[in-house]
Amino acid sequence: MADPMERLRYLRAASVPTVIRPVRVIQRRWKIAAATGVMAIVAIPYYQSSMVVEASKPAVTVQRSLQDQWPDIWMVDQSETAESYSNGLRIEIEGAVHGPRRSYVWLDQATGKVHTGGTVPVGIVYHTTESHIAPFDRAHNGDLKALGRGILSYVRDDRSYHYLIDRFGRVHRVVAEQDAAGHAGYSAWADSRRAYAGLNHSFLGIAFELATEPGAESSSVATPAQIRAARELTEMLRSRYQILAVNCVTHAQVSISKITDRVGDHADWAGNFPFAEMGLPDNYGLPIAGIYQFGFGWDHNYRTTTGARVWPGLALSGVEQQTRARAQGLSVAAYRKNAQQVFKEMMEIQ
Amino acid sequence: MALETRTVLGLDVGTSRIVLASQSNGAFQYESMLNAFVKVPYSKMTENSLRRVGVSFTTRGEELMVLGDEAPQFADLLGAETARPMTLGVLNPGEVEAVPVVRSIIESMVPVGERKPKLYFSVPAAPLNGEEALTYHEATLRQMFGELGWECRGINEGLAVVYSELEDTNYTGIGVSFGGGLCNVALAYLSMPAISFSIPKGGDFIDASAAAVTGDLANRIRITKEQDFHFNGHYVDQLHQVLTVYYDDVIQAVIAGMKDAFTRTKLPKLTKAVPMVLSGGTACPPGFRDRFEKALKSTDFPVVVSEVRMAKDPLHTTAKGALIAALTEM
Repeated sequence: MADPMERLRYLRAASVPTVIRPVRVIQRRWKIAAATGVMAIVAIPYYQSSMVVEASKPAVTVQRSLQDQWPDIWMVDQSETAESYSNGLRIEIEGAVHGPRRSYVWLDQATGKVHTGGTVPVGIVYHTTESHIAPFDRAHNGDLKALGRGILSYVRDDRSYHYLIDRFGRVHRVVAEQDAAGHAGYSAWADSRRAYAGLNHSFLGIAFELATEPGAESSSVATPAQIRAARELTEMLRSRYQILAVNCVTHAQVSISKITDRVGDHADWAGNFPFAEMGLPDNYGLPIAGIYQFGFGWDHNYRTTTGARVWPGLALSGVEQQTRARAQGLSVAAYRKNAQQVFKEMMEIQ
Repeated sequence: MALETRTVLGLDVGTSRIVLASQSNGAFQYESMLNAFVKVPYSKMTENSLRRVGVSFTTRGEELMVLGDEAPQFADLLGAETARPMTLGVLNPGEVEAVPVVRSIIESMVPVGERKPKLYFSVPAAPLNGEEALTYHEATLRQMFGELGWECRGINEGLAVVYSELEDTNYTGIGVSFGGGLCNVALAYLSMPAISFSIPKGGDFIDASAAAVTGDLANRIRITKEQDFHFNGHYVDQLHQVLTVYYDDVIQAVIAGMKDAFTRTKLPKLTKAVPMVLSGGTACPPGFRDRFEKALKSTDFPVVVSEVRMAKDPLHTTAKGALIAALTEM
């Protein structure tokens, strides 16, 4: 039944009393609904993974350095519970879980074609858990440990990220690196060679156990141990997968709202991520791929929430979007519509 | 308003706003008015002035009552407080003008003289672990609509959110309405409400609590909150920080309520994760959804949630859901 109103009419007619009262618990009606209404469920079509979508070839590309130099980091020791690396990084691996096998789509900036089957992670998205946080002092050691255990257990069950860095700077592997984790969902990013839609498969997710404090600088919300561990982890992952520095970004930079078709659906590390402490350039100055590459919009709230570090990138995004539209002989509106369609088709393929 | 094509209506009777939804040529349309009033001393000149500029008002003895969106402006001019006919999601039993004011506001949104409308109106769910105090509220509204000759039915507010937003899951999932007086929650399975309840905290609680801390007027808090409050940003003053604290309080109360209710109730066996939709004016600040989702993820939640998403049009979601219910049943 394609018409949602007809579907609702059918479901309700199958089981609903004439008046729906504001009762607290109605335990039996759902069983009737399940028995009589299940036939009305519409199967959601899906795309075959081998599908290739023709996309508009960009006329220009945002200049992003591919001349990265990666530190040479190697694994020193490995046991059933931990791995240690040459830069001092130690990863707790006990309890790590598997997710769906990594396989992503990307758009080739040179040809404008979409390809499938990517298996090597190409970037990192930084997150915050926004979970309950105890004061970081000796008196709260028990609380700190308990909260850390709780959030680790949750994100493993949920397969939320690849790595979690707890308040003590301990790095926990959550989902195996060769698998996808559900950290970014509806999201996009791009470098000068490729553009990516839906970063769960193409980017690794690193979460800091912390809750954002309004107005706080990163140095006061993340503990020194977390920042040190994040830098070591970033170095190792960049070394292992030859990840470009420009592809190490925050969740706030990559997320897109399904509802409003605007960037900034999530606000993790919206404007105060310590890029410099990670050994990275200030990537807040980069244009937002969701805007210039895939045609999504942004609003005043995003500008306000992210802060001044992101504004140059926002301005660049708008300029780049207009430049691409002009180069293709399209109005900005038409360019945006086409670009969003490409994004949506890439998401469906994914 | 051409009621020939708009005789079926959805009405969100909220503590803060009353929202009317209708459909014209297949498109949803909305009208909204602040659910508030202020009393002004009667004079013929004032009455004529109000009529000339199109302000909604009604006459009560020696006073004029200015209704809806213009009430705060008049209150400011007169140095008076705006009065609210509803509190905590229901008609305020302590406000003698509550029923006539709500009736006047609704009548001003639905012109008389046209065909009598059929409507679904929103009603809150009973508070979790509390006494059911909704009979007076719902019965009074039914009586009011009956006196107007309108055919009416009530719909649970959380269920209205589900009808409005969850067609893609065959109306299975969790609808949450963050209102001015209450937060309403409903878990529906194939359009049927499995459980619904309310939490007695909302936007008014945030305003009043923040006002008590900062010493500001609650009205000023409300304006700041609605105009430029957001989460996860660089906040410039104490007010934003205080608002964050009380927003978190509401979020925690709703999540704790859901966890409690879903744990204690025998729910339908959900074979797939279900979506959760957030709506209502209190859910509108940028970053709210994110904040809520992170708080949800940090709890041991008894229902597997596939995604937490904002309603497409959070201020009109309940009215739209009520209209959809009306269109499918009446």
